[in-house]
Amino acid sequence: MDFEYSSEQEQMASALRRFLAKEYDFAARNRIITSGQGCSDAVWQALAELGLLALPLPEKYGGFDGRLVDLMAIMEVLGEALVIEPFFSTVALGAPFLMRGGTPEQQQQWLPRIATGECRVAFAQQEADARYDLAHCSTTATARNGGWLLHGEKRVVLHGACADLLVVAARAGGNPDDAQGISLFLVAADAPGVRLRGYSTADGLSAADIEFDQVVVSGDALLGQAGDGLALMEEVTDRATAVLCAEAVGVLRLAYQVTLEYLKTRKQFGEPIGSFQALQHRMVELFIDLEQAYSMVCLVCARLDAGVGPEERRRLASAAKIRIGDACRRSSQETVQMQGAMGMSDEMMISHAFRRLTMIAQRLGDAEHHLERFAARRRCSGNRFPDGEGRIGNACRIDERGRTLERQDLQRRMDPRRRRQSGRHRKGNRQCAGANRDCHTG
Amino acid sequence: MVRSGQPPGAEVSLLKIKGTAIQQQLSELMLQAAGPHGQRGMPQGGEIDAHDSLMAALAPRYFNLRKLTIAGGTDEVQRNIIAKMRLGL
Repeated sequence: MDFEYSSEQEQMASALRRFLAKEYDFAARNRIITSGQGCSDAVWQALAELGLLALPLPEKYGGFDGRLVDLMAIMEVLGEALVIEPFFSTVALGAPFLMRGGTPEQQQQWLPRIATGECRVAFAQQEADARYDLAHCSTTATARNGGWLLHGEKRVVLHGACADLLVVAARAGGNPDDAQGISLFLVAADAPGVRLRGYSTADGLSAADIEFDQVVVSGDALLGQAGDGLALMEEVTDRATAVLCAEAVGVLRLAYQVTLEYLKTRKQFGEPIGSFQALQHRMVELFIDLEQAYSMVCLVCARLDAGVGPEERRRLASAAKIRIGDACRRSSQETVQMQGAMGMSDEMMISHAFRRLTMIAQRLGDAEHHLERFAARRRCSGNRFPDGEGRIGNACRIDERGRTLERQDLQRRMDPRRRRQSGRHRKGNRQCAGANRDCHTG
Repeated sequence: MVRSGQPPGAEVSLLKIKGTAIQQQLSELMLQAAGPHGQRGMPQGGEIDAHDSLMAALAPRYFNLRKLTIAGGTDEVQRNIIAKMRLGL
């Protein structure tokens, strides 16, 4: 197994780190947050010039065919600097919707613009009563004149206020919690009838409540199959969860390093407070949390890159988010406590790391949500690296072996004997409805 | 204890440790219960909905209450006091 980044990944990460150190220090970040824009055009253009916005995109649309492990390297660095720009929403969440569900025409229309920084994307799925359930959708899509009419309201859309393009989940049929019937649409943020109310999240990101008031979209705005949007949403958000966990590792590392430095310099009773065992042991716990979180992110990114079936993908994403969620909560609370009043100060980086960690813990589902989701899954081949595949430092190409694995996995899953077995296994389980729903759509 | 003229002892420290922990846990539980709504901040301008402003107050409250185990003698100092005064360590 190899947990070292490749030299290309190292170069990419250190170019970004250099840029952020120069242009995105604490004061610059604060200026962007208080500007009311929610993001900085100049920074976005710089990220485009570094090639980062094009990282996961296909080569023919100006991209680099990057994998999750490549995004992981970048998101860690963005996490370390507590960046607020809509990189996650656009590159880790928005672009994959187009890459995995879009027609060649849709890809041609939007992906090159994402690569050059002309188009920021947000995923408008969350509704007032949805909590973390992707299947909950009461926004409606009504077929009309070869196109669609969208009506409903989305809440707390991450980076919604600075997006040019929205990926909107809307229901073409059924009840608000049905697995079937959800369709995805590409809607320009300035389309008539789209009303945004922007604000900052508790950790300084731009967000919006978005109302769709009888919004008319054409037939080619439909992303993927009508009524079958849940499978695509699950796939894309599971992969995005892995990337979000990588961001968390960056923030955890920042919080850990700042606190360790504080324990070595702050004196009490004539000695650095780090000389006291009571604090040493707690700091060691944070070190273990950080290492476990990093290992978990390596695991989920490398496994998803190697190609796993939907069932195992869900398990891996949820397992990672559980570990990360717990680490975020413990680490944020402990680092603030150990730094005392300094940890509470708005002028100190650590208080902002605290906010980011708290919010990541609840983004795309908290630990409790993912624990339930994880427990509802049939046991798969286990969350371990297959022999010889435990590596994160690959060049940006999906290798042949990964594709073969995915094919074999699909064939195995389509075996009717296996499907019957898994159906029986779930009978009588409280999670039955949810699990079967996923089984049909996954 | 105060009425009978005794000086406050380790019980005060115990009270502070438990009292502040409960307040912190409550604010954390409220934030978790809010789910995705716990992410929101105050909308800029326009009418402010009562539900939204309640949700927007949860995260700042949770952040702010971290101070309870720091100010007025940190949790660690309170434990030192109990160890020394009550346990004789």
